[in-house]
Amino acid sequence: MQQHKHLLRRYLRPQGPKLAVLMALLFANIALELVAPMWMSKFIDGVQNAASIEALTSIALVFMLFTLARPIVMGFAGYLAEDVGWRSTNAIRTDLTRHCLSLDLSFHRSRTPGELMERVDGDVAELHEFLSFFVFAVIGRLLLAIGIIVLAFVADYRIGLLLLAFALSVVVILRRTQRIAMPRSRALRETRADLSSFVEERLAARESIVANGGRRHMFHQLYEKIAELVERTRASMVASRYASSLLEVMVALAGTGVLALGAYLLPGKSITLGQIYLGYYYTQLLSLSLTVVTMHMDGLQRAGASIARISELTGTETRVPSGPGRDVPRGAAEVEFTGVDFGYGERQQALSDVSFRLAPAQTLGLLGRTGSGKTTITRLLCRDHDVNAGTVRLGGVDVREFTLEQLRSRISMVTQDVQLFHASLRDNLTLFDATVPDERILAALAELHLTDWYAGLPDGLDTVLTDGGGSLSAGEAQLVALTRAFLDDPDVVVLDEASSRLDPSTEQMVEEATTRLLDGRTGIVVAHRLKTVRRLDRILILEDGRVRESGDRSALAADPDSRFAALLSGGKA
Amino acid sequence: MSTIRATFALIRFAPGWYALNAFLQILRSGFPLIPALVVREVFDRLSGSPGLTTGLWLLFALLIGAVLARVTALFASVAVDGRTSSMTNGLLVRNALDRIFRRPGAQTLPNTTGGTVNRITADSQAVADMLIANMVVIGSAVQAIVALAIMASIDLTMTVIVALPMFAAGALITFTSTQIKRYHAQSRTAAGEVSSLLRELFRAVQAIQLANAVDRVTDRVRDVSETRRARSLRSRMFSQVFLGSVWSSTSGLGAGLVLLLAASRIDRGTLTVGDVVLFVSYLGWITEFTALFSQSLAAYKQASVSLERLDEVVQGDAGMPAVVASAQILPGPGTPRPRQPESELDRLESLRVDGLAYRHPSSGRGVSGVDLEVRRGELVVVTGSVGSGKTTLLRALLGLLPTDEGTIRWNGRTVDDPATGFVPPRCAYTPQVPHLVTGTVEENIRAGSDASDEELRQAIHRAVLDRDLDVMPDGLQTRVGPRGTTLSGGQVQRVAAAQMMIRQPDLLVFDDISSALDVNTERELWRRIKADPEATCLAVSHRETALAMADRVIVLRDGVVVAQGSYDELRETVAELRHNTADDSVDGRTETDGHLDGEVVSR
Repeated sequence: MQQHKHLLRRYLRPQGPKLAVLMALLFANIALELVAPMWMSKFIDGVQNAASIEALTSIALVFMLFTLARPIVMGFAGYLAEDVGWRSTNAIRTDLTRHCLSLDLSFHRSRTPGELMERVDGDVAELHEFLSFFVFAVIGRLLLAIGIIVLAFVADYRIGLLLLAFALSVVVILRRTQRIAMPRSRALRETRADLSSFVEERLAARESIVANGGRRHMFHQLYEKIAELVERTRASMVASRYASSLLEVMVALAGTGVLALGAYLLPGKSITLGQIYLGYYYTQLLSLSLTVVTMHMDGLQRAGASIARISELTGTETRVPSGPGRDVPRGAAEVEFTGVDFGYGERQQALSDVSFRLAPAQTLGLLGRTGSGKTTITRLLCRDHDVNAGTVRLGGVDVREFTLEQLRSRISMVTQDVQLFHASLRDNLTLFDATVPDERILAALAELHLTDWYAGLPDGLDTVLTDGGGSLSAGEAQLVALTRAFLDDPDVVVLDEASSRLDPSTEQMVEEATTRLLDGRTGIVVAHRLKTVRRLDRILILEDGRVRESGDRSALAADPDSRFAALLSGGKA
Repeated sequence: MSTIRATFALIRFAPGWYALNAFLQILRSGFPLIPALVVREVFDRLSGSPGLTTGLWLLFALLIGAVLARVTALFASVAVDGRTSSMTNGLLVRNALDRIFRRPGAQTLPNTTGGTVNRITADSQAVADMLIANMVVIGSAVQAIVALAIMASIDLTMTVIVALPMFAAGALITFTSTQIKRYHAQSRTAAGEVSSLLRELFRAVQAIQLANAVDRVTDRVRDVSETRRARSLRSRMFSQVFLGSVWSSTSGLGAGLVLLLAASRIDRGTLTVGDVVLFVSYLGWITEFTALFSQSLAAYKQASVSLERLDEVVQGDAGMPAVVASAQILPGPGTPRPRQPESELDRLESLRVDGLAYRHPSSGRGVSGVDLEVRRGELVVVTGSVGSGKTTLLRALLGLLPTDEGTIRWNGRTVDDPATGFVPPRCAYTPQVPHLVTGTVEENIRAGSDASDEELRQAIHRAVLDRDLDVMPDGLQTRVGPRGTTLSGGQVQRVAAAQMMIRQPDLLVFDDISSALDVNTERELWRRIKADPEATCLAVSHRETALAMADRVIVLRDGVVVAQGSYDELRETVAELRHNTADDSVDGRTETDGHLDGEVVSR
């Protein structure tokens, strides 16, 4: 509950003026809704007392006026409520996106993009439904219910008592039935998220599914998911009706009670037929109001679950917190690992006792079998993860001392998977940094010998790349990633198998550019090609997360007993 | 195809359920008419002779009975609603996927993956919800008709006058329907943009973080969200607030008219107080129907937008009927596991391609006039520079892209539809960037195959995955995280290779297996494949390891074959191969091959 209040207060406050107008409209609406049936009651009494046609007609006209005014008030209020809902949830969505994107990679490793989408878009949308109707449904209808009970007391204390007892028992019962629906609606939501992830993964793997005859298997799995969806939708929909159905039965009991009480009081003239009607009508209105409240109580439950999940997410702290910040002069820096241990999760030890030192502007080649821990070393340097033990230093300073922004502005990384956006080439190169002038981008492209390729693009820097880089070959995507690194102008460059997907002639191009990029910078290169390695100053060979061999490249190459020399000569080390 | 026809097609998918649904809707809406009749009787009795009589107690009992019947009908009805809507939803998802997976597997989809997922899931749900909304309207319509009939039996003129404004409002709604549809389409497009952007961002977290771009991309999220707010607000206001106001004004007008007309009629004695109460009460139900009707009309318009969006996803050459076509979507009890589809081709002796051509419609690039041959037991390696068309060639050959020209012959017989022919057990494929799915390593390798454990072990061995499995915490049962990210790139590729091997195809097709493998691992892979003299393989690679082992090397340049032959024949003459070999070595070692392993197989 505390979470709800906190979240609502924080995001509704900026909407203050609109909320005030909304409240005013809401009160007007409630007043109209309460007053209109009184004129109906007067009409019935007028008939009973044989009033003149003129008198009855004027009562009818006033009644009509009230009933016509209400929708106009409602329309305006609805518009405002919707607007407030969108504005506040957009703010939540934006903040939540920023938060998620700031969390460390071990968080993202355990979640699909689809899952995060469901939080940031799905849960927030749920909250939107709740917010845009919250004022209407919960507050407005509750106020109306209170108004009805007060008016009933004014008419006759016995009717008042009856309606009060009715309303109280409704609240009690609502609170009990409220919990039944919640786990089922949560289960349904999970099933939907699961189905969405399923579809996404299969679309991503479409090529191999089609080519390897995996269609039938996929549909078999899909049908199982649909069966689960069917069962959970049914269970959730039935459960969501418990509260409202119980309410309906209670309304019938209360309405009958009002009629019976009226019939009992009528002969004593302590009540009129019109008032009996009003009492009966108010019972219906009360039930209608409480039904709406119930419906949005479902919404409240869902929103509660959504808020809980959102809060869980906002409460998740990054495992690589930004450091206090250290101002050090820019320029090629020393990189040093001392006794570094690291594991993904608890059981998988990726690095054990790794130590090495790389002098400023020197380059290091990381060698080793797939899975030996090369990529992990590069990740620890950029603080995608933090070490379990030991220290990683940049320019003699523990990387945890820098703010993340300081650290990452000094390091550029070209990863194995190039991540491209459905956006212009410019935005893909600068990652949406509008302050980078086009001339700088073009200069970087020229340096990479990409001018010819660039000239072939239909709209230059405005060319929109398609999702997942489908319009670019894997090699071209690599070149885009290298250009990104060029634009960053870093002190330390990390190339993780950067050229592994390139064919020889493109590789030639990249090699030249890489040489220029590494020039005067400290470089760590995860390389497979001897040609790349030959240009590097130092070598580190990893095996199962341990340093197997480390040293000066030329010294290692000259030592016939070294593993590196064995690699060079083509023998099995 | 019209939305109406689509709707009926969907109803035909489960006619029994929809019929039951309609029946229960009628009961669910019918029972609430009883109380007003009872209450009219109560008021008429009270206005004549005040006091609690036995007759009144019976009427009260009837009031309670009616609500119990109504609640029972309601529960039965929502249970059936849930089942019908989710089945329809499931059918649409299934059909959309079916259409997409019938298309050539590498042909780009018209939308982003995020957008496509959004359409397949959210739009399917919108259509299913619309159908249920329509069923609710059916019940409500029956209710309104019965109510009107009862009112007309009391006073026909008054009923007509009171009902007239409703028809006027109905006409107004019809006039504005195109606008509703347009606004809704715009708001859905804006919503799709938000989804796609978020999805891309969550995929690219590492790149965004390393570029210090979190705030910049978040600003972009804010902008697209703001567009969605404006669009949705307009769409929703138009369809709900404006039209909703029209309806409630209409009902207010109706109730006022009842009172105005009743004044003289009561005076003349043709109408009772109870009748007035009944009229006002039924008018409420009729308004509810009209409001529901206007909502379902809006839902209907919105559903037709959703259907169009689904149609776009499946790029309906067969169009809408495909999306709404009936199909088996639930695994019946005891449904056997699906068997692997059998290729109708014979055991491979030779594969010949003549004049194969494919151009990417957007870029105009591709391959043309490609001739090649692969015979049983051979290793044929395709090489060439970036963008030379290697991947395109493999995809076109396998039917993953629709070829423009060329013939493909399997054992001398022309293959008309490579997409259905080139599947296990004749052929299998590992793409350049394989995608695994959430599940265990074993599930990913098997992918539905019911091969024996021994066959599984062999596939793992041939894919050089055995050593990795030994160090994985749970071996074969290690969970592959979301999209396989807990494995390294090379491991993902070898799991994909094992998935291919376990199918024991005659022809193995690899697209650039070397891209994420170190040289030793790749050499081991080729060694193990070559250990089987029957193994036939067509691969894209740049590594000398592969080139040197190849029986034939095919060099592509700008989409055409520029050289074909053994590596030894071509290495000195073809530019793409030449700089791979000779190299100045500062280490005093000559004749290294440019790769780390110093592979000497070819010498």
